[in-house]
Amino acid sequence: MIIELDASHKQDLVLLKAISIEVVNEFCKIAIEFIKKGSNKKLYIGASQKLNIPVDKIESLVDSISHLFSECSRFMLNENDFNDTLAPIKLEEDIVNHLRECYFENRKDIRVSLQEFYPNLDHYQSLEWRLDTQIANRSLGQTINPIYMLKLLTKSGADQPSTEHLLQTDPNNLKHLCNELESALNEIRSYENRIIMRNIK
Amino acid sequence: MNSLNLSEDVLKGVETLSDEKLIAENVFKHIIDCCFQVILKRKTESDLFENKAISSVDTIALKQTYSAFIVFILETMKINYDQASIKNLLEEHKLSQNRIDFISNYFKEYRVAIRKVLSVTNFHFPHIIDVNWRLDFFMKSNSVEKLNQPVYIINLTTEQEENIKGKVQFACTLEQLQDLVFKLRDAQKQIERSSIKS
Repeated sequence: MIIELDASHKQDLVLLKAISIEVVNEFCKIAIEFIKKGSNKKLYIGASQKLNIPVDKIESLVDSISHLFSECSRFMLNENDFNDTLAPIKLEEDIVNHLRECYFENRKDIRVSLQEFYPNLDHYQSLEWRLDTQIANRSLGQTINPIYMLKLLTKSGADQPSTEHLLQTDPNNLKHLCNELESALNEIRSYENRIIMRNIK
Repeated sequence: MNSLNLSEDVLKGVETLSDEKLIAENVFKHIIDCCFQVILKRKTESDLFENKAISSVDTIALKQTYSAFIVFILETMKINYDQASIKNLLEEHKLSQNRIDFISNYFKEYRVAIRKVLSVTNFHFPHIIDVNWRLDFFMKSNSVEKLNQPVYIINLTTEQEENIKGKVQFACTLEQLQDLVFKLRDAQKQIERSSIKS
């Protein structure tokens, strides 16, 4: 599979011909940062002074490299497909090799970042528990009432602050909870589900 | 045993119950029944006044007696006062043996139920009462293809107060769910360990 780059992206990437490998390297780094954390105008201004290229050019070049990386990561392009995607631009082999290396090095991270764009539910992060026994309250003395306090932390994305849920439950409900979730774990190992997962490509 | 903590007003109200002229037999039974049922949340206070016989009693005296007996039930049940002590106390306040037996039977029948109501008459954190889960296979999204990984969506049903339900929903990967179950199992085992020790 090959990614069809549109004209404006091609135009930007052609600029790479004119710059040295070290600088291409810098651009790759900035592009990866861009995918992970969003744009950083300060970096562009610094680069523009150093290379004597207008800021907007730099910005659109970073955009194009980011686009290239994220699209390739999205479809999990292999080595040959990556080379073929860049072929129409006719970059030097060195530069293509460099871009490719950078792509493979960061593909996993990029995919993790990309996943966060999908409508994301809060994700489980950690659970802390403690066991208390309530022995009295205002309206009742002489009781023994075991209570589990649970602190559940969830997060909706890597950069998001985590949400704290303070919950409680009793031993019976805890047992039920354990059994249900365990059957959920077992479900994934069932024969039918393994067949389904193996056949979805 | 803890001592009872009843004020003069309450004791005076209870004593009124011994006045067989002011409070006739059927009115007496109605008041006692009402008090227990109100505490058990099966009746409301307005039911107290719906009995026709009750109109013969002075409203203020009725209200005093009613509130006194409510406090009497709550306080004795709070410290789990035993049957004999309750009888003694009622005797001290001049109730007839007939009426004492009547009250005593109510205590016998509803002791456990009342203490159960009292144990939940309290504030607490959302209490997990059920769990629902579903297993999805996350294939692709608009920004990533070929993900192909299982995602669990967990839905915890919680109860804040009686019949007020809430929910906590979150997703987890296989590894995260394993971690969660491991921790919950550990918590569950802890109570078995502690109960063996005691």
